[in-house]
Amino acid sequence: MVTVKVFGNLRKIVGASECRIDIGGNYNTIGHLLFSFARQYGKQLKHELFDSECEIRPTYSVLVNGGNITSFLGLETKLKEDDVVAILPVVEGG
Amino acid sequence: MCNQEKCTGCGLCELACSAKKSKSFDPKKSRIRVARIEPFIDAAVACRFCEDAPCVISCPREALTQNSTTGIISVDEDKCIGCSWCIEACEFGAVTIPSGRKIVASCDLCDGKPLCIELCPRKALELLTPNAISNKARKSAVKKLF
Amino acid sequence: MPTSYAGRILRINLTTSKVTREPLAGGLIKQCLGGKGIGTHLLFDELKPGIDPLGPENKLIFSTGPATGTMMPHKGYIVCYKSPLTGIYGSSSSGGFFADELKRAGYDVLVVEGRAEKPLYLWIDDENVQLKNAENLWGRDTFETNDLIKEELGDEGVKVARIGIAGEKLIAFASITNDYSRIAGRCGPGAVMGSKNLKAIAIRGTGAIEVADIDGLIEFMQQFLKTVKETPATSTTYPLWGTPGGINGANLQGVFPTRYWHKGMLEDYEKINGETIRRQIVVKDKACYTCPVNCSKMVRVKEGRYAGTVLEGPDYETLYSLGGLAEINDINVIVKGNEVCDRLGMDSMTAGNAVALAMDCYDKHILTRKDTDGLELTFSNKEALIQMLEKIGNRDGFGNVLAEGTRKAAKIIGKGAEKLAVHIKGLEPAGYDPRGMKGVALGFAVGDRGACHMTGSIYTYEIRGSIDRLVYKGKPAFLKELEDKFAVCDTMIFCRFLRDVTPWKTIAQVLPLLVGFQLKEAELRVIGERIVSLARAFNVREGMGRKDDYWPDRFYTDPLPDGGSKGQTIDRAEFDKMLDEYYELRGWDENGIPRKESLQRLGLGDDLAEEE
Repeated sequence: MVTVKVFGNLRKIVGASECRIDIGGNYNTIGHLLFSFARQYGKQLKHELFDSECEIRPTYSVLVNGGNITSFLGLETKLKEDDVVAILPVVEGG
Repeated sequence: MCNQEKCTGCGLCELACSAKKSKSFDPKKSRIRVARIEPFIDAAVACRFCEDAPCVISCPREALTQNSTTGIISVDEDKCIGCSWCIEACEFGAVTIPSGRKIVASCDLCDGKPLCIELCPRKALELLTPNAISNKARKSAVKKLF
Repeated sequence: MPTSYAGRILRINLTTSKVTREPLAGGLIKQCLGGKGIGTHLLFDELKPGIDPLGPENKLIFSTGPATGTMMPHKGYIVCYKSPLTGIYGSSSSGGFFADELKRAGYDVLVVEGRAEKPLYLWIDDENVQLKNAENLWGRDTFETNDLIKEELGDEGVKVARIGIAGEKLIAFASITNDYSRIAGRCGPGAVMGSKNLKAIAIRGTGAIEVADIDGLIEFMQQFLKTVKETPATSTTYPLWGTPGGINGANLQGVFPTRYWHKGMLEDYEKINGETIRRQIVVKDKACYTCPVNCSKMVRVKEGRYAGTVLEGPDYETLYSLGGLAEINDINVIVKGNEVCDRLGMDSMTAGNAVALAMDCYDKHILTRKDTDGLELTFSNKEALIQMLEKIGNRDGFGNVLAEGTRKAAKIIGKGAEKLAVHIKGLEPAGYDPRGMKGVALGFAVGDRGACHMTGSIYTYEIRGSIDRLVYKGKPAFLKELEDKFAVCDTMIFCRFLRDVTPWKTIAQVLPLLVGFQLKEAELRVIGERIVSLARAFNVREGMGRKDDYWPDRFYTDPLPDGGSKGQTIDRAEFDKMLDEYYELRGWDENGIPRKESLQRLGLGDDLAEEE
């Protein structure tokens, strides 16, 4: 199980600020997690998070334990038990 | 019509109008003006195209005429003496004397494609018939209930 | 050919009451365009090194840019001066209407010099310039002053830049406020104004601004606004959340300065994030003049002790300085603290750092209740924060010590406070911990004002994840590119939040529409490089060198204890390598001093090189 925290519009769609998702066996990358997440919460989430080429929209950052997946292997980044994933709108303060 | 909830007071509408009408940037030359009441209120106001427009009626020189179909007010620049009775008559502050000339002006909808509406970054400005306005208000009120 | 420049500098000498109007030289325009460019040039040329920032020899140079007054979204003015907080280069920017009014009155630049004998305010009414008595305004806060001056002049359309009590009392980080609540915040320009006995500058400008190609500009705008709507930061994230939108990312990645820079994450940070603010206190969105992004929010506190408090804000930096650093996650308290700073007219970032330093000293028994006027200055003490902010702005009791800024306050407090104090060249950092952001580590170290996030704004790309924040490689080159570009943006003057939609080619595209002459991208880059090296030369002249381009020791030795950047420090060897590489890219020597050849290449002249 990993914890997935969501922010911004995703909270409305998911109906919660965080949830727990099962990862198992060979389906343990961020990509797998997010697709299963999208499947679970329907078309609206899929559309919000992914573009037509199934890439994460540039409006969102995905972090694993505080590190951006762009510093790791992107959607191929492997997850382990008890990891915390966060999906949040890209804003940088100022 | 300016949606006061969307208007941020950015003033691009004024500059757009000024650019179009006077080829320069000066909010006082604009036919649409932002009313800013600190801290919470911003809204842009332009001619409402009233029936039996009070501005037209008030003019002692009959310099203002109103198109019976569109409601748009025209100013005869030879007749207008800038006495400002029409400005007093307009309840909305939609008639002004753009700086530079002592002749009044008000919004003429830019030959059909108002630049202010096009450039408003929040889509706070819309050109609507009265029926459309009440239709919107009705729907918005009902949405708030349910 | 028409141009958006007014073509004139207005110079006011407060000692002699002399008012002069000078032409804005074409050579200066071509060299540095406007805004920060002109301000930095004039500051360097007209100020001798070593002057007292609170003395009559300091100047306030308010500059507008080619976009000011036009429909091209722009951001206010930039004021350049020698900073009373740091003793080095100071420049502050502020949005709103004031800058446009100055240009409409017929001036691109306003220079204020000398010192008045009694409190005055400057009244610029197109060609008519007067110095008016401000004795009945002295002691009034920033909001009252605005209203009173407009009333006195009988025109609510007048635009007023003014100081509050903090500026009058020469708080080292006092700010200048214009319009409702737009603020030239950091480095103490308000204190410079206060030291000159100048309470306010009121302007009425009735002229119209022309541009070289107005039809071309309208066409450009139609496309530009479309691009704004298609770009995430400018179409959704900033308009919806404003800068508080950055709270989540900073905390999740463990770089949100907390408990006076000892931690990287605030407990329950969601209580002060963009979503909470929107839900609980936002009344409406607000935009600076001409801006399509409307990042600003007008808020009102609805409940609790501070119910009724109205604020334009709070912004990310205040959430970090009054919230994170003091370990307070009560949004209503932060809003109140922000309002106190705004009313008194002082920088919330430095103020928050100063109070949190005192809290850290109190925590370590370096300070006791005897020192703090009986206040229990513990972390998370909300009441103490608010009271301390009021005391600072009024130089009341212990507030008088903190009013000098972190560096001097730490010296006065002594007993090890200096080891705790966090600043670079006397300026407290912005809200990003460098241990988890290696680009920030470099950027804040070499920033022209001190630990400033605006010069390079590299924090943007590290927090987004466009570049790997934990990596040192490549940061010097990337930082230089950003600094050059943002220096040019600061000449136009474009707001940082338009960064995604104002790449080099867009700047090159819009410039001729405004001013009638063209500059290639390569030429624009040189202007950027020139401004950065000139500001550096100013600082070198004031005694700065490589030794001042470092963080306090603990950032190299104390790792972040938890969160998304747990265990991280700044590796000193890597940091030194970054400095070396950055200096080389800039054409500076190993001590960070611009080389003669580099200055000459930038057209900065032999006399400059000799002064060093």
